[in-house]
Amino acid sequence: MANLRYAVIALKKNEVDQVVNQLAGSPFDPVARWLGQSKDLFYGPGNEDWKPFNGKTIDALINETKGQYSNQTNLVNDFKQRDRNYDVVSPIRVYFIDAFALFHDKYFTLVNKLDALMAVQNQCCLVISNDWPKDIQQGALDKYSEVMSEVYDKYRKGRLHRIAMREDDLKNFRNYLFNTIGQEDLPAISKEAEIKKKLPFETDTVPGRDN
Amino acid sequence: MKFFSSRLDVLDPLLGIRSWGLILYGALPACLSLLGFVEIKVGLIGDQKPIPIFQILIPIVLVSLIPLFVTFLLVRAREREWYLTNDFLNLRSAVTTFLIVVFATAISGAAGIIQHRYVIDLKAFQFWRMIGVLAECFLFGVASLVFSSTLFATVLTKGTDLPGLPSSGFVSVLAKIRQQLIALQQSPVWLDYQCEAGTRIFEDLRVEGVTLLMDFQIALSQPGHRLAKKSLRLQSLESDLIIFNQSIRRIKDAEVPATILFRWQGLFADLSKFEGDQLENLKVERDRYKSDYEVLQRLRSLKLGG
Repeated sequence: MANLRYAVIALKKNEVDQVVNQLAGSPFDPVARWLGQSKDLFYGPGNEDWKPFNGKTIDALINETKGQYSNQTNLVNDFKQRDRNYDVVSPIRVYFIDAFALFHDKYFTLVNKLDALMAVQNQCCLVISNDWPKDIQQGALDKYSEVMSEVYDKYRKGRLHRIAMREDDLKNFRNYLFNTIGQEDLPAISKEAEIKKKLPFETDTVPGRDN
Repeated sequence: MKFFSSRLDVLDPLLGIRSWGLILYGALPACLSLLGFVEIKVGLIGDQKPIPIFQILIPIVLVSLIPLFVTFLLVRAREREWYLTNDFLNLRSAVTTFLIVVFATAISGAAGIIQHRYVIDLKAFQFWRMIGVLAECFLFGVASLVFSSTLFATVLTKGTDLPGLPSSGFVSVLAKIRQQLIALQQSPVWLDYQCEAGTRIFEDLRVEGVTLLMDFQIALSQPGHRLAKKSLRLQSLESDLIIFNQSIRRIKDAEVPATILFRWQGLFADLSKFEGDQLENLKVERDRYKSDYEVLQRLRSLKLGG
């Protein structure tokens, strides 16, 4: 049984200032100020060092039990470099998304491109902490529904996406996913690679959407 | 006691303490002088004042050079086998050779006292005569290296189980470990990896790592010579190998070729070849596994004489 492959879309610490500057003076100004003050609490050098709840990194939260999940965040970075090659991110099953990353141009563009694919083929977990001020939560939620409109729509219609507001929400989603789709027998990556070798192709067409 | 023991562990690779049994066997032939097998007279040295240094000292150096050098090489060859790495090999071989000669010189001097060739009399002390006696004893010590007994030759050239020396079983397992480590150091994984190569190389390395750990346990289970075995643990090779195996497994378990490549780059690649976002991400990855990376580099830079 293969591990559930996940990717983290979150800000890095050195990207926070960029978001703060970008949002200053906009309707999201309160978000910017709050984010600027709290960046040390939430962010680290890498995407996976993001600490959404109680100072625990997202990696630590997801991998509390070893051998269930496999971090594939680097594929998202590859996708950015090889624009619109959806094959690159196809092995990813679950996305954990930092709401503030959606305010950053780089991640905004990324999730915007992946939105349709994520909506139908992946499971997304957006993190909006209950500890944040109410107006910040609402600002983050508005951004989410704007940038990831397809995912948000599917979420409301009942597909398996989640908004985690507490640590236990995240753990519940993590365990639920593993207990359901984690038990499915997926084709081994090596077999997939063999098939791709025989039938090589690259596509910039989002599955399920006519570009 | 613990303080002394820890100092001994540190000094062992520098001074070759575990091979000091060689001093015993190296200086043993010097006892032949007691039986009167060999007699050396450096009469000229003692009779002339002042000592004609260039006439006497240079021949002494020339005469003793070859036996000393051959002994050094034989000691070096044995110590290369008794230690995992070649760090400080020349230093510890020189120290051991020096001690062999000092002991051989002391023994021949003591034999001279027993045979009444030399008399200890502080009132009749003459500096030049004492230098002459020391030169005689030194030359006898060097000569005894030439007249090495069969036992000495055996000890220096073949692996045998003798008191005070690492056991042949330990030495042969150590040789195997060294050989495997050299093979591991020569693996192409340190230089390059392409997705097309698949995961075979990591699977092979993992098997090699597991075999090495098993051989490591066998080496530690060999009887005798506590210091030699303890030093293996000191070098933390066992824990380094465990981390090596974990790192290889982490790369292999990534499953997705692009992630396998990314994790390999994070631990093995030369980051100066990358730039931009890719470099930034790889730096973060390397920092995250910094201790593992340092262990891998330590394994790669072990001086094994390969």
